[in-house]
Amino acid sequence: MPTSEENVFDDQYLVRYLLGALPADEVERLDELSIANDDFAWRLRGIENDLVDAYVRSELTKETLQQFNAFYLSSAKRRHKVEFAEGLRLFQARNQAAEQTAGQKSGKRSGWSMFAAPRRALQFAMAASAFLILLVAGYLLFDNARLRREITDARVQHDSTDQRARELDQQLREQRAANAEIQKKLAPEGKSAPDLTRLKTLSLILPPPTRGMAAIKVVTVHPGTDLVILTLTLESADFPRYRVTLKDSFTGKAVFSSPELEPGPLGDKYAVSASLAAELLKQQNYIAEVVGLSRGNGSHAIGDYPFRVVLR
Amino acid sequence: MKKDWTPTQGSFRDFLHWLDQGVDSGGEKYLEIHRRLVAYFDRKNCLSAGELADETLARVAQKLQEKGEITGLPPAHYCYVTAKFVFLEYVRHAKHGQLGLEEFSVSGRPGSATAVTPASDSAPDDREQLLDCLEGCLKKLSAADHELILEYYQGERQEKIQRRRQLGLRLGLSANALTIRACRIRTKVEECVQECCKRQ
Repeated sequence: MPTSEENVFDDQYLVRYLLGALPADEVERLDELSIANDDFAWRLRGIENDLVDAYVRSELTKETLQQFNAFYLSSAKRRHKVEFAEGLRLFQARNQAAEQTAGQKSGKRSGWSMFAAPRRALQFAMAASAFLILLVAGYLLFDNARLRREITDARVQHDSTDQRARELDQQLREQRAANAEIQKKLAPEGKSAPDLTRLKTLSLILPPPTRGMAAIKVVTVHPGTDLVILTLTLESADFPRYRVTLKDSFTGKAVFSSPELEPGPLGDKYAVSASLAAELLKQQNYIAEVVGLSRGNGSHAIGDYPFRVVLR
Repeated sequence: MKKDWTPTQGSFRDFLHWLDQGVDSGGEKYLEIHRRLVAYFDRKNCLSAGELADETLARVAQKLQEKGEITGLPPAHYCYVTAKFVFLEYVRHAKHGQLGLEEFSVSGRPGSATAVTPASDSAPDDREQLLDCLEGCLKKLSAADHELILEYYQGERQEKIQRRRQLGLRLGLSANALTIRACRIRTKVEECVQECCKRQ
């Protein structure tokens, strides 16, 4: 009879079991518990559901994702679970968007209802507000020194942000100039190339990939956007050239592959920038895969940069 | 494999009664053991996990009918032991090439993956159909279950953990009890969606 030993296995160990990554001699005991022990069976199902949800939300680490692709997706039954999880995620996202819209509408209504309140109540509210303002003003007098310090800090921060914005702006201009140059070369003779500097662009900067869990970046693409510039931060520039391949994180299909790109400095790190037509993107999760290209034609995987596209 | 035995109505009722161990589950215990067996065979990459689960339960029911009672092991544990034999037979047959391809895992080796197939290439229409089915199935739930499943699986990482903690406190359920309840509801909805998609 199985005992309470189902609790001795940590979640990560059970994830490895679900991904077929445990040695055979360790699998048998878990097989037994998965059928014969109610608590363990439910816990395992809970972990499996969370694992599949993490996959459709692009939250898995690289190693887990590889095991997931190699083992978990090899069964039709398990792929059905993935499809269901994706459906649930989409359903919740739509629900949330609908709730937000409803919330904004009700917010507007409550704003108007304030003006419809009885005049006496309004006067009382104004008197109370005036009293409160007096109190706050008194407090502010004493707090002046602290605020001055905060302003100084904010200025320093602002300067730093400003510097970063200038760097990005410079990169954007360089990218546009490079695109214009390429466009000129590609355009047939006698035909004028479109003015790429007038294109509506959107820039997304992605930090270097980490092994642990990190919040997935979301990019909102508004109607009329022509070009999306992906700037992928690198820990170091070990290769003279890089290539970026954009893949549908759900199907693994490549939707875009960049030409060879040269790395450039970005703050204290390096980055490569790839631009692609915004119309290629749908509302879903993507993975930008970066490979480093050595002089001897060899390529080396640098990392995966997951992000989510939201179309407005 | 003993595929020729078919339970009578009486023997099947006795089998359900034995699985329930005195607490009438209305067939739920049978379905739950069947789900676990399917998952077990599926993790071993057997292509016909559902049939192997049927075969396992049929053998146990047959044994119960022949012996009148099964003692020494709780029902679920006995089912596991039987499943293990069914799986070993399956692997042995696979190695000797005695069964059709549709009845085998590609490798025939426990715990090894078959050839990697990409994730679902579902077209937008399929996805819309799945969403319609999902909406319909969620509507069939009680208001409490509907709210619970959407809230339990909402959010990412830390936010999700926090949300579940608050949900457990609000419902007066331990983390374990909440997981079990959410899993039961999800399983129910998943099966409903699968049936709905098959029908359409």
